[in-house]
Amino acid sequence: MDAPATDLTGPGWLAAAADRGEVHTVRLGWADRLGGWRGKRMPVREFLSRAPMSMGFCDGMIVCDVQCDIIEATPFSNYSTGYPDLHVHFHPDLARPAAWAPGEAFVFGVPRDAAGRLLDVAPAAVLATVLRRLAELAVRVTVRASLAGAALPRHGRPAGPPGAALPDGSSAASVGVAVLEGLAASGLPATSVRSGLDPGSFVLGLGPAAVAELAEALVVAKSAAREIAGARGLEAVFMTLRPGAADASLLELDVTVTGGPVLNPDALQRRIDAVRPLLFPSVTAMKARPPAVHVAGGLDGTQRVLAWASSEADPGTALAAALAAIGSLAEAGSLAEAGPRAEAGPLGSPAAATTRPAIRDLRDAAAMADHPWVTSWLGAPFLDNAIPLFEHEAELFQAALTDWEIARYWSAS
Amino acid sequence: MTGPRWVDVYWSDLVGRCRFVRVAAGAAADGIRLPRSLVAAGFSGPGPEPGEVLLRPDWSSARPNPWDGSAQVVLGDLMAPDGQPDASCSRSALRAVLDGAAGDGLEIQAAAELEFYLINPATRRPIYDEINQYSLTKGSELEFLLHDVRERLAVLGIPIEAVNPEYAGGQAEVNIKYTEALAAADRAVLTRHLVREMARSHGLDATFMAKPWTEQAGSGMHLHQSVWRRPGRSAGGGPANLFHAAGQLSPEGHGYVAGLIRYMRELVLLGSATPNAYHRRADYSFAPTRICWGADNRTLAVRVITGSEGSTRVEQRDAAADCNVYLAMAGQFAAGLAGLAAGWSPPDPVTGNAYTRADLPLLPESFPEAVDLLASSELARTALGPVIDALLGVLRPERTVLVTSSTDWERDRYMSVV
Repeated sequence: MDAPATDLTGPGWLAAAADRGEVHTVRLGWADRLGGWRGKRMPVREFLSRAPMSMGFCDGMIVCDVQCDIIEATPFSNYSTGYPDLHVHFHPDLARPAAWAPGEAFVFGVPRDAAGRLLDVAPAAVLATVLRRLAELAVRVTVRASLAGAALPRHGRPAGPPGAALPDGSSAASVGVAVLEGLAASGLPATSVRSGLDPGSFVLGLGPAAVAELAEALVVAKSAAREIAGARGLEAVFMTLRPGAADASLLELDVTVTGGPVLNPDALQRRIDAVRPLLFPSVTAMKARPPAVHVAGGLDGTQRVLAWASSEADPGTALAAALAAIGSLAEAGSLAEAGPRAEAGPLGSPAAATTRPAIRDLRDAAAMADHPWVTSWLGAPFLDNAIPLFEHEAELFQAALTDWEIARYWSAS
Repeated sequence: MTGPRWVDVYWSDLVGRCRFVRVAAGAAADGIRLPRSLVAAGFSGPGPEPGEVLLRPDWSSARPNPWDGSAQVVLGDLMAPDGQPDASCSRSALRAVLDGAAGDGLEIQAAAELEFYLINPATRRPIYDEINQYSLTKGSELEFLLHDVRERLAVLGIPIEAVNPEYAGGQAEVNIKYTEALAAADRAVLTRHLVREMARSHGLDATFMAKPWTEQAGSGMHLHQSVWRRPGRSAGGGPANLFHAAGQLSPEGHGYVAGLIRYMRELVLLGSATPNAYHRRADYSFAPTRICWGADNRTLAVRVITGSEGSTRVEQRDAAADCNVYLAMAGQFAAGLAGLAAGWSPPDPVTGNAYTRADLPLLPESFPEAVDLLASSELARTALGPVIDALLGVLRPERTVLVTSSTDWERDRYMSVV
């Protein structure tokens, strides 16, 4: 976290909570490239006796696929590198209660190498680089986010209208409320929850907050939702498209930009499209058709940008990609690109409806590196590891025989 | 105030099963008589020899029983009628190795990482399928058990440093905090036993079997170890880690590694004592297949981790999680100490993918091969003593059973086509 947000955290909080018997376990975690919250659980007394401390983790888990499969094509780590440890530093002053899991606290860390340098394949490091570049351009950003998901019966589909009681008496709404309350009680910037359009769906609102803090809060939010739903016999799902659902599960990024040139929505859309796999990182997510990017000019000189990623996306990666698109436009001077200027107003200007993604599916992921600004802002090491994983995912899908194919062709041929 | 009414004495049999006996506190002082056929039992049944051995509580290992305030837990040593450690006592074999080191002013610190599967007894399959290593979210689904494991074992004087889901569905890892080596072995033995007991209390099974499923990761016992020099009585300060040299592995550490490497092949049975354990050893499995060492690299048999004095250590990655912990440790320590004492140099460290290095010697690929190698090991007999022949006595029948058994794999593969 950038800074402790409430009096729930800070020097001495964890030790005092342990003394009061309120905390017995600390989660020592970090975010992977898919927004998974990885780490270990440690007894609080053990942590306090050693903290601040570093812990090693097999570095393959930061360049693995969604099923933890590791591939040889990721240069950062593979069998030829021997999968050594990545190192994460955990400081007790950054501990927060995991309020939805009584007795647990958590500390977030950022993956580093053995010399203590941020790993340039880690989304947190990429995001930090993007934020530094924005600062150098005198562009300041704060972010709100809305994260859509659904609480469903395990391996099943919901019955009834949104928020209706599910068979065991729980409901998506109650899961969403529990997530909101749990995050807020943990000192995280969660501010709202509402029902979605589809049965079982909910939308969590977070922010405004510092960008890095929001990215971590979103990772925690997804985990908390899964844990809370699981404890109720349900399953929290963030898959972009679900059978029978009218709405895609999207992560809305609501960015307030201060400083820099006026942003051209069409130019911004093209840049967002150029990094689409980072925002829609699965074969399913790539099928989504999110709203076009919106840019609105505020009367106070700020600009508001709405951009969308899949709820499946790693929040840090999605934020880094979106902010890199904004920052690179600011760097280039947005007016130099053709297209209408943003108009003042609450929704501003959507990008032209004719805009089409340059990258249609994950097989095209390598096209991201065709754009110099992408490599410049996100870094070649990050892309060189991300692209093979997207291509690997596409290859697996291409090789798979799906239930759709069986249903469509089995008896027809 | 009176002490506990009962004493629960735990010991490990030769094949690594943790056993226990509860006796009235007053009846334990002189030891507990046990049938030799029990303490020397193999996988196939009771040991062949008649007579008794004496289970003598090691009161220095006494600790409270977290489930039962009327009892205390203690580790025991198996003694022969002549008052000497019995050949079936693997704990005594480890102690002998450590006593030898202590005579040279050395103390070994060790910690075991143990992997295991949680199984639904109705399906005999892991309780979930998806791989989610290190997932804190997935780990929440294991907390019903692992939180209990951490808390109860802490009461038992077994600090668990950390836990996490491992690289297979339903598989978890527990990291036991390092300590002096005999206590580290006791901790691992009790942890393995009590994890199984606690899983059963939740209607589940826990297995430390080396390779339960062909398509899933095996379960290993990675053993972290370092050698410390005790200060003399006249010297000030605390013990010094002999492996630590300004962030590098010291010459003594190189000697220790050289011993591990030189003797790894002949001692492999001590860490892989079932035929099944040899299925775990496969290329690209993160279990080693070749005898090699190097810096932080998970394709190697010996992984050197350097850093501060407190963290510099050697990780031997070959042992299976179902091994006899005392014997696996005793063998590794004896090998390493021999190399340290002799000042040997290890072969060149390996970088890169050791699974592709055909020039490196292979670890034994089968149980019969490993039995023959241990039987001919001079170091094993010299350092560990008569426990080696006792172990071979209970494992040799396993080789016969292996050779004469038809498995479901063979039926699936051959029955309909030949």
